[in-house]
Amino acid sequence: MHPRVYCIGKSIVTPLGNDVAAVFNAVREGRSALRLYPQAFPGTEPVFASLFPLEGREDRSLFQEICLEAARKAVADAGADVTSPRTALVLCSVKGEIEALGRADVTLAASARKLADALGVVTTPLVVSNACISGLAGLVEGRRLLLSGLYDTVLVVGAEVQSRFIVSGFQSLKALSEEACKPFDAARKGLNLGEAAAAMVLSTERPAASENCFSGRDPKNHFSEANTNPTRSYGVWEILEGVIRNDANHISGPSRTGEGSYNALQAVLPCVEREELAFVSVHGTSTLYNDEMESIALDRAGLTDLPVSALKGTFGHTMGAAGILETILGMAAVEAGIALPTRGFEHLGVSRPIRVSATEVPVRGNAFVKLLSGFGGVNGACVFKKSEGR
Amino acid sequence: MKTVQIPSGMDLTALYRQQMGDYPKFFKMDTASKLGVLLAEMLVQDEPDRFQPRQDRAVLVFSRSGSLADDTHFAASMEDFPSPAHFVYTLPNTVTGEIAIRNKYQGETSAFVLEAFDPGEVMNQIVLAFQDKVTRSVLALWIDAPSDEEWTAQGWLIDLEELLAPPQEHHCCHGGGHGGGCCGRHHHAESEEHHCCHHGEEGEEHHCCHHGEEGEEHHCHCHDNNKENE
Repeated sequence: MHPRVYCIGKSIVTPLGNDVAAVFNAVREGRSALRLYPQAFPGTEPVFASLFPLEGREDRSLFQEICLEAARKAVADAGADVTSPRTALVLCSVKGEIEALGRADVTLAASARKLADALGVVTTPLVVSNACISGLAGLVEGRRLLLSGLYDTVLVVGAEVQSRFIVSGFQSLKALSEEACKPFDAARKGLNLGEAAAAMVLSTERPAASENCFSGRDPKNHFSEANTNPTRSYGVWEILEGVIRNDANHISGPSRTGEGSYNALQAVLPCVEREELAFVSVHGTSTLYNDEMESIALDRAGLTDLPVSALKGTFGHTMGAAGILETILGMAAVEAGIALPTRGFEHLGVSRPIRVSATEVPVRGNAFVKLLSGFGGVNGACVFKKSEGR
Repeated sequence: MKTVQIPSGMDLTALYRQQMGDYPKFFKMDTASKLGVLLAEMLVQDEPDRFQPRQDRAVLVFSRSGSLADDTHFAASMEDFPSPAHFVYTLPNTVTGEIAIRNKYQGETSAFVLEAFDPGEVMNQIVLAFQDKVTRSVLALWIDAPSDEEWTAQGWLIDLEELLAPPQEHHCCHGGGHGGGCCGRHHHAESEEHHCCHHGEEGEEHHCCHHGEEGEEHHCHCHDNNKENE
């Protein structure tokens, strides 16, 4: 029988908090750590972003710290042993420790090695650096590693810290909004950058059905306090399918026809019944072109009747972390029976009639689609499903 | 399986004129993307209908140093005026995008960073990429260009049919690694001695293009158009 891939542990580390349930509630309440930094980093223009504290960054690697914290929490959540030769580590990031360029080995391979050593992972770590879909691409990679039978457990860690390098780059592209971003809104003016780490432990071993994937061992991590339906049961999360498709159009701009996202959706949608889908968790960077492109892709894929949530208005664009962070909050939303609000969105400003959730909306369904796009014309789509009972 | 290399320090503009010549976008690319587009060109230029959009070919790029050379260029520009032209190449996967655009490949594109050149891991990832049911062939490239002057650049093109073919005496995944299945035998009628993923001791006999000083007389086993290279 075809093995299945389960999420058996998860964690997030964000400027809004490090506890999934607490951060989930903050997102529901419309809170965010996004704010204006007159000078976040030496030499940068004012930037609206969601950042960890800026003090004392010169003397340490914030990137390593948040990766390690996210990884350790996810491993503890799963109760997994990552020191086994059957455990793989996949690190997902775009720029890693680039702020130390010229002072240290800033290759992502070096970052991954430090993380593996700190965690006691004995297999050679793998780095997926696929622009802004890196986190989702890491989950696709983790799933493949498990389905191949090479490993029993895969720890996928996605993280991004901001720096003068990244801020200057996005400013040079004129892609940043000087105020809080407004995904899919008519008045959107660009994206906000964000920092975060998020991790998932994947396994082919199915957790006991009575356990919530989000933590069977730690009852306070359940979403019961936030649940619209307190009697709702918790399930086991599975990655049903995940693919990557390229636009083959432009290295820094999305396809006008949403080609790659549409093709990615077409590839993953057959794995799930339509009535099982609760919502689509989209990329929604709040740039003019990205959000328009996604509306076209969703329309072409016949998904205009599903609620659409974007979380960049809450966390900013967390790049390498986004795929995992937004997936974990998507899982929490399904368990709570809602689609999360799209902070910053008021009036639809894209050409296709998609149902962007300005406020939290109740949903049915035990599955969702995660969609992301990035530089290099790359697009990723995954379907996650909660199964209940045995 | 086809394989090609571009020796370190080779004149890439000359190679472009010889292999492509009709793609001025080439000149705006960083060194890693130039190497990637050229390796892809050398591997696929004889294919029929090559510019028809297709999703059935994945592009996987591996390196150790990612976009380090261009990172350094962009960082230098930050001191004066941050250059968007450099910034867009400061991602390890930009090269996959350039190859996709040139060849209209709308399938999977992925970029991986490894600690060192590891043909076993490259082969492992090629095998994994075929888990995507749409993927029928994989263009895999090792492109490590820590500077604009020095690099290692090697490309492989492998079809699913080769992977599924019953293994014969020639196996490709000598590199070891995780033992994720063998890619099967390769189809080089004219070079049976030619091992695919071997790099190092026994692999010396196989060179495509020029390889340094001593390589001038080597004919490429896998690409006829390289003849005028000599």
